[in-house]
Amino acid sequence: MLWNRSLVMIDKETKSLWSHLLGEAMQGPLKGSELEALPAEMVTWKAWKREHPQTTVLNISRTSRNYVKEFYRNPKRFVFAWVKSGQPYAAGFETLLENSVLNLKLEKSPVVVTFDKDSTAAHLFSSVVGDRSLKFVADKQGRMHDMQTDTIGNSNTGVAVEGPLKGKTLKQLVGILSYARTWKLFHPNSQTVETSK
Amino acid sequence: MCLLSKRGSLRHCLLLASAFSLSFLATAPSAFAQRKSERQFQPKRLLPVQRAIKDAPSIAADQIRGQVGDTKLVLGVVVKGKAQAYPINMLTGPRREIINDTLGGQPIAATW
Repeated sequence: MLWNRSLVMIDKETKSLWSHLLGEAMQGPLKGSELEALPAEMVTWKAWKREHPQTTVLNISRTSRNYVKEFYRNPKRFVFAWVKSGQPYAAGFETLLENSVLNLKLEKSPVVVTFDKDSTAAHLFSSVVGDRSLKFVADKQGRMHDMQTDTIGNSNTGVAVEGPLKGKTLKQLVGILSYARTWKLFHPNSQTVETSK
Repeated sequence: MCLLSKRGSLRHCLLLASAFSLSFLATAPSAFAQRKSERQFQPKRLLPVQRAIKDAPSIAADQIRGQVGDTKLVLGVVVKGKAQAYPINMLTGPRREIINDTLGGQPIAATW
């Protein structure tokens, strides 16, 4: 079942219909209920194993031989998007390809978007550590440095690996990879993130 | 997409499947925040309801070698310190759109 060019899910228990992109029941006994979204990422298998050596992996038959990274063929079509305090935001892949670290001041909650070109992984983190909000820059090794303490962090996991804040972890927030058009259909009031602020 | 189906016009459905792409993980029925939806919900049914996938096996990363190439995409998630990957080449097609699973003791649904 499709709605707004996006999948509709059904639960076996109540037969309610759920919007895939919203995680919200749109029809049936659970209408209005929401599933809690978890931070997840689309990433190459190599990069995922590197960051999470203890990972397990689904082991069922393949249904497709090749899943190519479509994003690079036409980055205009894709966004990395999220909803913060009721306001939807989207960063185009073109913007991400040019900015591997993007600091954003959204109302009272500063966030940072990181993008790894090689693995295609985009991440959204809260920039707040303790009582200060940090601003980050990327280095040549693809790591992130905060400008306040010059702590070096892993931009895929948000873990500080070297410097005064070593051991701290940025809180990862839910961001999803979506077709730009689809996101816009669901969130007509979405704000587009243009450049680093 | 035409999630949850048995057989049928799969080709048609696959074409539509490529019309959207997102990484999204939801916890299975729990955490219901009530929210009044003001959206007009007009879904189109393309396929019959699919069989739910649950209890699908997962194995350690080093045991999967041939099945998933290094450059292939996976949907990755960490719950309570447990990392799990869902290779996109196993999640493609209308019968494979949602994997019901448990991670770190928490029921989740992996879909994209």
